[in-house]
Amino acid sequence: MDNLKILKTEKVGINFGGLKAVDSLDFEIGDETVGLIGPNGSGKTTFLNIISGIYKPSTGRVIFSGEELSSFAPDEIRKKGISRTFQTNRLCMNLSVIDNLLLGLYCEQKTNWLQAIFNRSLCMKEIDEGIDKCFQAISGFNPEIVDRAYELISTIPLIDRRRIEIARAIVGRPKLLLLDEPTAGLNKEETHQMIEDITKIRDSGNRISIIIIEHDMSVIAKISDRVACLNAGKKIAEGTFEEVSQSENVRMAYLGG
Amino acid sequence: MGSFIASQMINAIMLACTLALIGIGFSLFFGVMDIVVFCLGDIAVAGAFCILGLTSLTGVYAALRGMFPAIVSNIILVICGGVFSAILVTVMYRTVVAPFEGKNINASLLSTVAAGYVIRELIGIFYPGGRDPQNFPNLLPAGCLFNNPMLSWRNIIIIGTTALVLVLLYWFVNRTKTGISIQALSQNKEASIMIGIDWHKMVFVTFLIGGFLLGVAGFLSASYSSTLRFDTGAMYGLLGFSVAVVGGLGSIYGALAGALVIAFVEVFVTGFIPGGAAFSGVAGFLIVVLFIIFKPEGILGEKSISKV
Amino acid sequence: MATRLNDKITAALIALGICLLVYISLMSPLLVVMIIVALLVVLLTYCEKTGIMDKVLHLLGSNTILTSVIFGLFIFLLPIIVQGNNDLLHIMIIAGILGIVALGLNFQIGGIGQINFAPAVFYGVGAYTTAFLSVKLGLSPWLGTVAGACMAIVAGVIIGLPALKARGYYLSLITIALQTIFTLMIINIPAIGGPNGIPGIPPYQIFGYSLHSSIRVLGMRLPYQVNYLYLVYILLALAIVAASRLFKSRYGIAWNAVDQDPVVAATQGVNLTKIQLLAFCLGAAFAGVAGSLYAHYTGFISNENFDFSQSLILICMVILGGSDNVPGVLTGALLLTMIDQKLMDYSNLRLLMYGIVLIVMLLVRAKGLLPKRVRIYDDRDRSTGAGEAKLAAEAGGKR
Repeated sequence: MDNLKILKTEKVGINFGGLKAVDSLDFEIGDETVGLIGPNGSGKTTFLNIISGIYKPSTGRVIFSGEELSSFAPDEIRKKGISRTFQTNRLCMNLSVIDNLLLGLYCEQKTNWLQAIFNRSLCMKEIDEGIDKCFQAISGFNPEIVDRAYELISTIPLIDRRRIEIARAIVGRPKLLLLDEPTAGLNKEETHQMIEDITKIRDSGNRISIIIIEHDMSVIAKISDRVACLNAGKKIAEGTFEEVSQSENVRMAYLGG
Repeated sequence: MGSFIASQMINAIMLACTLALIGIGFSLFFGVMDIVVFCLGDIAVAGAFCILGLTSLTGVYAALRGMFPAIVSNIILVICGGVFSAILVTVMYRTVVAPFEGKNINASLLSTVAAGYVIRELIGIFYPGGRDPQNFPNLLPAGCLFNNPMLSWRNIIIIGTTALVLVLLYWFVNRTKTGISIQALSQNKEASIMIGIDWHKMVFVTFLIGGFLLGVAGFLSASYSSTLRFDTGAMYGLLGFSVAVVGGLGSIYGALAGALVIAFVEVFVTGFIPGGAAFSGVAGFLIVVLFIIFKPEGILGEKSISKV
Repeated sequence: MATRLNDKITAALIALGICLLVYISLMSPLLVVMIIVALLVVLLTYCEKTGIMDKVLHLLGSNTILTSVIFGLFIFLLPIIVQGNNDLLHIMIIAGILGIVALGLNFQIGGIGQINFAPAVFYGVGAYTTAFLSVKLGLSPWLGTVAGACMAIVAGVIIGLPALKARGYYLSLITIALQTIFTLMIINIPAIGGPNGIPGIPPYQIFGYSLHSSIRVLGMRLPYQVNYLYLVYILLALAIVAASRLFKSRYGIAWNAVDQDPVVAATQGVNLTKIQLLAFCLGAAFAGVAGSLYAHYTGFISNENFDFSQSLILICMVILGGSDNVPGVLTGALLLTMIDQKLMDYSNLRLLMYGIVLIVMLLVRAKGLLPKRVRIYDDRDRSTGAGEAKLAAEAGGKR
C-alpha cells in the first residue's frame, strides 16, 4: 500500500449550460479499488466522462501519473492507460464477440496499415497473439464465451455482455479501470458472479486501480478498499464503506430531508 | 456605374427570392424530420412542369381562360402546380423517407438523392420532349412600373410573393395552433409528442405547406427565366440545401438570410471579379462547406448539446 | 484428407460455376441478364435461409489460392473465349476499373458507414492529372498514373483534414457540395480542356510496345482491349488483396467500431480523425489509379465522366453488391457495369435505373446482395474445452 496516487483530480468541475454537473471535485486514487456512490444525477458518470476524456472540464485539473490530462482526446487518454466500461453496456453490435475483444487491443498493437497490406504474416501473428490474450481475459470470467467467439453480440446474454465489455477494457492491461454500474440489470446470482469477476481483476497480480460506480451497496461493500460519495456534483463523504454508510450527509443525500 | 450596381443588386435580390423559397422548403422539412430531403428542387421543377403541361399539352388552360379572366386562370394554374407538388411530396415521403425514420439517416439521405434522380428522369422520359429546354409561358403580367425595366411587374410579383410567403409563414408559425405545434416539434420532438401533439398530422401539414411552396417556387423561377429544363431541379436542390445550411437548417428566416448571402456572393463574383462568371457557383458552395465545418448551425440556427 | 480434397473440388466447381455465369451474362442480351439476376436473387435468398451461403463462402474463403487461380485463368483466357469480341472485353475492363474505385469507396461506405458522395472527384483527379501530364507535358503514361494516384491522395488529405471535422451526416453533406464544386470547376478551367475535355491521351507503352496494339494469338487477331484487360485486372487483384487484408486487420475492426459507436471507439484508443482520414485517402488513392487507367484506356476524358451521376453509380455498386465485403462490392460493380453497357439502346433509362435500384435496395435489403460475413481468423481450435468440462462437472455433480 504505497502513497503514490496514480490519479488526482484538483477542483475538477464541469458546467452544462448553468448546471454544475461536477463541482470542484478533489479526488485521489492509488493502487486500490475505490467505490463511487451517490444518488442519481450526482455526477458520478460525468466524473468518469471527464477522466476518460469525453468531456473537457470547465474548471480544475485531472492529473494521471503526474501528467495533466485535461487537453487530451479520449483516444490519447486510453493510450496513457485509462480504460472504461459504460453504464449502458456499449458493445459493437455489428461485430462478433472476438472482434469486440480485439478492439480492446487496438492501441496496443503495433502494426500499421502499410504492414497490414504488405506484411500479412506479421499482422496475422499480432492478431493471433491478440486473440490468445482476449481468450485468456474472457475465460477468466466465463470460458464458455470462447466457444461463441464468432457470434454476434445480439445472441449473448446480458451478464456475458458485461463480462465482454470488462474484458475488452482490461485486455490491454490498463493502469486505471473505470467501471460504470457493472451490475445494473443483473439478478442476485449474476451480481454475485460479477463481484467474483471483478475481485479476480483486482487480485490478478497486475497493478490496476479501479474506480467503480455502483448503486448496489453489496457490491461496493465487498469490492472497495475505499468509498467516496457524491451529491449534486460535490463529494460529501469519503472513507471506508462503514464510515461512509454511517455518514449523516450520505443518508440525507439518498433519503432526502 | 451606378446603374450597373443597381442592376446587379436587382439580380441578386431576384435570385435570393427564388432560392429563399426553396430554402424555406428545406428548412421546414428539416425542422420536423431532422433530415435533409434532397429532392425538393426536383419537386419544385415538377410543379412547374405541371403548370407547363396544363398550358401547353392540354387544353385545360385554354378552357380556364374561356371561363375566367386571365388573372384568375393564372392563379388557378399556379395553385394546381402547388397542389401537384404537395401531392408529390407526400408520395415521396411515404416511399423514401418514412421507411427510414429514426433508423438510418444515411439511408434516407441517399434515398432522397436517388429520388431526385428518379423524379428528374421521369420528367425527362415521359414528358413529351422532356429532355429539351421548354419555353415557359408568360403567365405573369408584362410591362414595368414607371417604365423602368428593373421594376418589371415580373420582378415585383416575385419579390412580393416571397415577402407575402414570409409574412404568411410568420403568422402561421407564430399565431396558429398548428404552426406553434410545428415549431414545438422541431425544437423538441419527444416532449411535443408527450404533451399530445399529433406528430403525423403536423408532418402532413408541413408537407402540404412545403410542397405547395415548392410548386410556387418552381413556377416563379421558370417565369423569371422563361425557360424550364427537366434537370434544373438538381441545381435548385443543391442551392436550396446550401441556402438552408448557411441560414440555419430549420430556421425560416435563416433561409432568407442564407439566400441573400449566397445570392449576393454569386452575383458579386460574377459581376465584379474578372472571369468570375465561371466560378460564382463554386464560390457559393465553398461558403456552404465552410459553414458546415465551422458553423453547422448556420447564421440563425441554434447549437445543440448532445449528452453522451 | 479425403474431405480436404472434396472441399477443394467443390470450391473449384463453385468458382468455375461463377465464371460460367459471368460468361453467359456477358454473351446474353439485356433481358436474359435481368432474368439471370432475378434468379440469382432468389437463389441467394434461398441459400441464406438454409445456411448454404455460409458454407459456400467459407469454402471459397479457405481455398483462396485455388479460387484465385481459377478466376485468374478465366480472365486470362477470356479474350479467346469471347472470340475477341471487343465490346464484351470493354465491359469487363470498365467493370474492373470501376471495381477498383468501388473497393476504395467501400472503406468509407462499408467500413465506417459514411456515405461519400464524391468518389468521382478523386477518380477525376487521377484521370485529369495523368491526361494533363501526358498530353500537355509529354510525360510517360506510367509516371502519369503514379502522379494521378499521388494527386488523388494529396487531394484526399487537403479535403479530408478540414472536412472530417464534421461527423457522419454532415460529412456526407460536405461531400455532396464537394462533388458539385468539382464538376463546376473542371468545366471552367481551360488548361484542362474545359467543356471539351482532353482528347488524344496516349496509351501505355511497355518498351515501345503500345498497349493499343492488337495481338495475334493462335491464328486469331485479338483487339487491343486484351492488353488493358490484363493490366486492369492485375491492378484489381492488388486492390482486392489490399482491401481484404485491411478488412481483416485491426483497422477493419476500428472502422466498424467507429460506424457503430464513435465514443466507444475513441475510448478504446482509436483516433477518429486519423482512422477516417485513412479510409478517405485510401479511397482517393484507389480512385486515382482507376481514373488514370480509364484515361489512358479510352484516350479521351471530359467533365461528364466525373460528375454527380458517376458518384451515384459508384455508391449504387457498393450498396447493391454488398457493403463492407470484397466479393459483394465486386459483384455490384460487375453487375451494374454489365447492365449499364447493355442498356445502350435504352440509354435514356440509365439514370432512372440507378435511382430505382438504389431506392429499392435501401428499402428491401440495405446490406446488399452479398452481405458481409463475420471475420473468421483461423481454423486453429482455440476452444478451451472449458464449456464441455463445465457441463461434465455439472452432470457429475447431479448424480
